[in-house]
Amino acid sequence: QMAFESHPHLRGSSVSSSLPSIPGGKPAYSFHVSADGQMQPVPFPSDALVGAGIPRHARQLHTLAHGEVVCAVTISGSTQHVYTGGKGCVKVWDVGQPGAKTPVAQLDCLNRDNYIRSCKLLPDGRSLIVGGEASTLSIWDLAAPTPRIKAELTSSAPACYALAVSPDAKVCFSCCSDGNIVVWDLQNQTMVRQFQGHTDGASCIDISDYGTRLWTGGLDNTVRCWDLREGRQLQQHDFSSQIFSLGHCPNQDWLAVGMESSNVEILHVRKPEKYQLHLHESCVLSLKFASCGRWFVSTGKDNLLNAWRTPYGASIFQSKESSSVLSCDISRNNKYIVTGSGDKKATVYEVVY
Amino acid sequence: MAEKRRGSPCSMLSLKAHAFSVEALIGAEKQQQLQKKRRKLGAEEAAGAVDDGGCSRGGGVGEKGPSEGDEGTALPLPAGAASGPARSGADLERGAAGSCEDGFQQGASPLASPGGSPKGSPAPSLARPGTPLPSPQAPRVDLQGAELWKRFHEIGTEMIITKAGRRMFPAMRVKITGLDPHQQYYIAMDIVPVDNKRYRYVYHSSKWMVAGNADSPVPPRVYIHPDSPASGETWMRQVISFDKLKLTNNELDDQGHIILHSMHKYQPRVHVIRKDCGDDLSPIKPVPSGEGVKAFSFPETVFTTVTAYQNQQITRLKIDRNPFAKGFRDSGRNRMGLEALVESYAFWRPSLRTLTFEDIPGIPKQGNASSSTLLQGTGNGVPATHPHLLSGSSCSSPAFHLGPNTSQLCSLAPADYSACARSGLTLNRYSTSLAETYNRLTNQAGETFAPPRTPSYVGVSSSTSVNMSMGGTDGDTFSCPQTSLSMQISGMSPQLQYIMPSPSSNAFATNQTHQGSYNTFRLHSPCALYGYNFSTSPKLAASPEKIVSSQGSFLGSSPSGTMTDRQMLPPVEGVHLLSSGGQQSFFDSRTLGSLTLSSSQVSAHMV
Repeated sequence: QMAFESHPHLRGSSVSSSLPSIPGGKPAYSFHVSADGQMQPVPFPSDALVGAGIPRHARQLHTLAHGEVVCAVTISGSTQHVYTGGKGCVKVWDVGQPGAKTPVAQLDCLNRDNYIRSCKLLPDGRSLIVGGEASTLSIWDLAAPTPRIKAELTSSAPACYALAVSPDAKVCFSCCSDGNIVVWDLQNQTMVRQFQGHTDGASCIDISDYGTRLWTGGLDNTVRCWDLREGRQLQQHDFSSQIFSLGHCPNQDWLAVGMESSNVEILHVRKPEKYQLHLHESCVLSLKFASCGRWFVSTGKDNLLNAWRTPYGASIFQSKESSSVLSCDISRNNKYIVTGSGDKKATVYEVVY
Repeated sequence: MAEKRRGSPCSMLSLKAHAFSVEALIGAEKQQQLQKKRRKLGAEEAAGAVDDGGCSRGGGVGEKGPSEGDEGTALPLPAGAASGPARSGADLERGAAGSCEDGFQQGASPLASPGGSPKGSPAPSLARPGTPLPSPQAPRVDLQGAELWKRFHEIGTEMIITKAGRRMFPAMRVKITGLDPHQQYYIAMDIVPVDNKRYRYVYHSSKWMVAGNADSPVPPRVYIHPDSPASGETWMRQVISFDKLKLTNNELDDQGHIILHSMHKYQPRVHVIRKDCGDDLSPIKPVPSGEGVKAFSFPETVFTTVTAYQNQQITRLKIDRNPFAKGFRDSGRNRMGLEALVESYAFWRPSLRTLTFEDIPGIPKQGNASSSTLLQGTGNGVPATHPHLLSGSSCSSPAFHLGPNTSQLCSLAPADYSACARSGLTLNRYSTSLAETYNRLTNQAGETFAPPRTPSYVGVSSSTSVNMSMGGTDGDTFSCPQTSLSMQISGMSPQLQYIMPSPSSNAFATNQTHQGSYNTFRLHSPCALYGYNFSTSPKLAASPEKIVSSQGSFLGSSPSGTMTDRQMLPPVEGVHLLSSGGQQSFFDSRTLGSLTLSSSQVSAHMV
């Protein structure tokens, strides 16, 4: 890096100095990329950061000392419970009240040396599906007096990196380290099909709001779209960097992709245009849209939690944590954000509007 | 799963998959607990030393065959157009069991592998073949040029401090290992008192003695390395040089120099600060403390501040080893002051030739040869003695003038420039008016004159160093808007024109009075008494007089400026070449400071 001054500014996450800048604010970090590849800094509209449903900032409410790197995190629909996945087990936390937190339950899913990589609640909140560095997914019954395993789904893949559950709770999708996307019938606990295409591990997955399309990102630098009814690949987007995270906007035609290269890209699902966002300085490990679709968060290996405006990525707020932020979730009512940290803890934020 | 981890060939997992391991995602240094296999893997990995650069390209490590024992061959992947300095997790972490570790790092996590235990190791950036891997967690700093420091230390190192600020010789140069290549760090230096005493040097016994208690504490100053913040990988790949750091005794200094008291003992310290702990890092506040801040110091770099050297052995050693002081080396005699200057000018011959490191046999380069440093006008200050600009006519006055009829133009187009750089001398010129003043002042007894000083230490070591990019991008490294070097040495004596740098957005180095960045070269006089930086303006050739006239005054200081377009020459603010510096100082050929040498300028300093 070439310094322009002898004592360079201490910037926060900053954009490469070679990018053009818009006066009055951070150097430009959001760019619109047109179909022909032209990149232009985005002039944010006036309602970028204000308006109904747009947060102003977030404040930390709880720290959940899981004790292992928290690779997976989810918050219940009631916002009462947070589930943190670390090594071997998922811990259940009651965050409904203030005060010091100890887990209210522990779900031992895997060998103690293997990380949980994803945990997803079924829409009714009564079951939790857990996947990680093992060939088996476990489905936990949370409604029982003490949580217990209801079922196990075993595949041939050595590990599951990401899970998604269909809105009707009938089907669950597992991204495997061998690149396959396994589709499980939850009621019958059988494999329905596999989507094959990724040539390397499938790292992230989301379902389009209509429940008809599946989007997956892979370590093979591609994002793929699959049709759930026809069982085939519909689209493929190639990138120059591995995909570590993605999310489909709940009610708009945007797909947010978090990359190993530190970029966040917001692809239009039907048009060849996108936004490229540069506020991370390292791999973008997780991202999640708010249920209203108007904003989303991304987390990075640079310890940052970034909140962005859909789709052009105006920065709403940033939070710097103490270590890589590997996972995140937003409560359905958009009031809480939970992050999982490399510092062996999870953090619950209250979103302030 | 454990059994799967060991030695089972991973047919399904690629390196990219390893990049996605938890260890990779959290960053190496956080893997303290996952290091069980490190040593074991280290040996295997050691065989697979790979080019670091390849490893670190965004996009991660290239695919490797799943077979065991694969060496890490990183295939650089094209980075996204505007992507940040991302590194693949694989670079650092060996996610899966069996993967090797990076020379600095982080624990190969034996597990985390999605069940497999691929041996393909992601390119270990710094594996040293055959050697056990060093403990990766902690940063380690190694002093470069320790031998020279030791020699000074044995005598009792002294460092000159001045109001305008003076660089150190030797300069602190270090190599750092043990950083997380993907983490961003600031590297900074401060200088702290060793004790609370004031000293004096007793000549007849050639010893330093305590002379009382220390003066009241000085304002804290920190020199943040200009490359900051940068990734661990960037830092580790180069020698980190603090050659531009300046020491001053001016407690009201506003140039960001490090403020010290004279005749006190100090210890330089190098700080490695993780970026997330760097919020409090500032040039005018003490270095922050905390878990992400580590300080390193070397006992042999302790020095006593002086305004003039006390121990002659130090003077001798400095002359001997400081390339900028080479002029004093003439036939073993130690000549200082005007006398030395006069003699040096006598050797000048007209020739336009840039000094390069190649000219200077055996001179160790100071500072970093990497382009980024060079772009900053860098620490490769090494001027040779060769370019004898003046013809044989001796000049009794120490005016920096070139001999008569030595006008030469060297117009270099950018392309030519680089070729010429090795052979051309770049010359500075001074405005007529200043030269007159100069003459007048230098005729005063006891005056020594100030070397032109520039903040940029450009050793005209290579073509790259001369092309200070103004644009600041890599692509511009070798091209600058004004890269042709046209200096005209007018036949009038003493007509040395000094072309002022035009202000621009790149400020080089430490000279904060300059607004501009300077494309500079140094002209090193035969005695390397001073260096000139001059711009490489293509237009200079045309009319030096114009340039002169547009300057208000002579800039004694060496080109901190680039001489750029004549039309753009800004008025030089008050640079007085000569002044009545009270100290008995020696000619300092290094560019040191602000262009505005105020009243105490005329001092030949030798550092």
